[in-house]
Amino acid sequence: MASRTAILATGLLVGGLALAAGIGGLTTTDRIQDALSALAESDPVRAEAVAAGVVGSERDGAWRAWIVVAAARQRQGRHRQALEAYRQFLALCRDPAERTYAMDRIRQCRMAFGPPPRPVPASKLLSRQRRAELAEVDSLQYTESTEHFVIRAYNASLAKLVGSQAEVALRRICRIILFGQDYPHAVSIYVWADVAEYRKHAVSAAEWSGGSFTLRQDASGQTVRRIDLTQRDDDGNFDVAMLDRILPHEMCHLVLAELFGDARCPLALNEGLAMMAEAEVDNSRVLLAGAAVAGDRKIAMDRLLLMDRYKAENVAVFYAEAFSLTCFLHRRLTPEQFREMLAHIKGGCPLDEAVQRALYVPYDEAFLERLARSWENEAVRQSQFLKALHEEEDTAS
Amino acid sequence: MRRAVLAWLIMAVWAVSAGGDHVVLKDGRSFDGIVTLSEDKVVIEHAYGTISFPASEVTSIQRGPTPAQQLETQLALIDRSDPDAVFQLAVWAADNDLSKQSNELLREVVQLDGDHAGARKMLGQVRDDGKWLALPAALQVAQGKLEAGKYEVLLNQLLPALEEVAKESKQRLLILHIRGHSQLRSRRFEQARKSFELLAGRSTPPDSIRYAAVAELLKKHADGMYVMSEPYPPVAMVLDGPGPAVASGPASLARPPVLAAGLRACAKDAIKAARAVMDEAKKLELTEPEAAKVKYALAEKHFDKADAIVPGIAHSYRVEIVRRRIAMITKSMNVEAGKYDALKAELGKRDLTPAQYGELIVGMVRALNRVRSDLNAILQLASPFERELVLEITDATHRLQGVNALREILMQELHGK
Repeated sequence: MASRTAILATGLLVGGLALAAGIGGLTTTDRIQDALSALAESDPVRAEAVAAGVVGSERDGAWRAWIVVAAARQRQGRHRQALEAYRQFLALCRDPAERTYAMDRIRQCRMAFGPPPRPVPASKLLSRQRRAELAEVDSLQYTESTEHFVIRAYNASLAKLVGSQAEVALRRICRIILFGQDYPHAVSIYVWADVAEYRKHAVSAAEWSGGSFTLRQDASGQTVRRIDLTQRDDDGNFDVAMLDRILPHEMCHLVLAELFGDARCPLALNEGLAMMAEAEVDNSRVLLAGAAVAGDRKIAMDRLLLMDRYKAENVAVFYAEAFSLTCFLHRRLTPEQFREMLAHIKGGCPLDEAVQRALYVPYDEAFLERLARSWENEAVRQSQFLKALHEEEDTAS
Repeated sequence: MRRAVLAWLIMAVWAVSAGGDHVVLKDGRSFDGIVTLSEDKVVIEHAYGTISFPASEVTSIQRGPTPAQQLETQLALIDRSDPDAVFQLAVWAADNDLSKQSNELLREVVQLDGDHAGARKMLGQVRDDGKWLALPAALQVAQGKLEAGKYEVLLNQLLPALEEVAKESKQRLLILHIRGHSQLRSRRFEQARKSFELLAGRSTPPDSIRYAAVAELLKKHADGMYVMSEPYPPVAMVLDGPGPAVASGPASLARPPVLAAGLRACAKDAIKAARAVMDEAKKLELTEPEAAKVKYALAEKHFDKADAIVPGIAHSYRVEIVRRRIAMITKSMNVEAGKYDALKAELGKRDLTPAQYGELIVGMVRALNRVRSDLNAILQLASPFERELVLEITDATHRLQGVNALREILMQELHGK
């Protein structure tokens, strides 16, 4: 397959050179423009041939045609060859914006021909035997440390597992919130044997929660960063949700609290990001969000963003919509735009203004309404898609 | 025809004599020209310049016909059905500041010969698709042709014709604008760059800033290729509706959305520069408010550039700057209000002599004056953003009313009323 593609590429290059010979009267600019026209007309094959001819001519500025060759190859799905062309372009390009673009595209190409394996939640890898081991509670507290965490638990093996999963979760959170930047602090994680112990020791434990985070200054002025978790559920079994959901969720809240400082982060966004940080998507939230916005249980976006507490009767809808909205924004914005949006929210902008600033577009009063409509449409679409998928699976089984 | 030739000869003679007044001096010399009298002098303007003599040296002045009279005479002599003869008189009239008569004659020529190019041109008309159009209509047609992609017709025919007849600088700028965009869209990037440089030099802000940005973009991307880092328009990726006009990747600046994307990137750079200055200003607000104010003014200059390139793109930042400056003024105003309160407290505490009492009242009035001036400054700052800063404006207005009422009472007390 690879050799066939190579033959095709060589053929195109030769064709390009022949084309170049045939249009000798045209300038490099004319020919680059021809290639760009082909690209715009969704004819990547012709675009590649013309651009390859320009590159082969070795005239002044001809090297810039490498990026057209690369884009044309990428649009044809020939990612390895596209990557090679992007590299050729990078070798001579000095423009920072164009270099950033090319490097981003190289990442995309790599992802396309070798996507990273889909992460499996840690709990899915645990055997019954292993779960039983993790449910054991010793009389001694064990301490384990990793790059960013110091874990204290009454089970040595659990302390190790929590440490490794905390690092995995932190990487995910940094990718979502910190645009890939490192989190430069150390966090203490305490895993308590059960809910009673957790409530006794956790610094800020809500009555109903099985985990919480703390960010405060102690008497000596040191910043305390701490996460409290529960090892076993009410039946005495190892609580797998602690690993997959509660640990990343609380850690995300901690990172956000640190990022926002005294500034206000809308609760919906805060919870939405924390849910996104969890090891896997909870489809029930997607289904509920779609059903809520399509029905009469909807919490409208403007109200959702102003809520700083929720009532028992709408807590599920609140969480579902918060997750749906945050995912929508994260998907639709580029990572840089998402990071800028968070920075503007931290600076005091309401969400619609923050998004518009991140997009660098003139302020539009009707933007919030349009954003809400787009999000609701997507929430309904996704919910319907999942429903159809479930029905299909049911029929098949 | 003989009549026309005769009329023309007479006109030529008149042109040489530069008017018709005849001055005879006491020493016997005589001069022809246009004579004006000023106090004790006689000034004669003729084809070679102006000379003057004391009135006492002049024996006589014989007035000749005015240009209007000369024109009337000639009109009587020519064949009015000959378009060329009428046209020649129209030209003569225009050269002799008789623009109204010249225009009338030109219209007469056009009635005689609808395709008389000289007359049409002098009337400010250009020919397009076989029709003669007045300048404003022709400019509209040119803009339509630009949007329709008829660049060759524009560049080779219509725009040169328009350039010949357009006199006003605004019209000439519009023609150059159309020329620049026609060159750009027809991929004549170097020519387009030069046109936009000219436009930047000849127009005023904000247009000049935008034109300079286009010229800079074309200089930086001389091959007309612009690499779009994201699709354009950017909201198309976030909101439902029509998808992006241009996908990310290499694209030609000859396409208007690609140019718009390039300009937005320039505006984005200006905003980023402004935000960096704003961040510096924020840090100085508490310790060096005057320096902070200067920094905010500097940030506003960057925002001016951004807004010139993409209108309205920096609006929300401008509101933020005003909000922060209002907060700074409010802080200093509260200090003055505190001084006022302290002085007021003194009133009830001590056994004051009438002079001390008066001084206290004066002090209170001064404190109120400073508060009043701060409130006026707030209202002035906020006034361009009435919708966004409605709370700040309402608050300052109410406070100002209160301060004025208090001041009135104090002034009455001071003047013993």
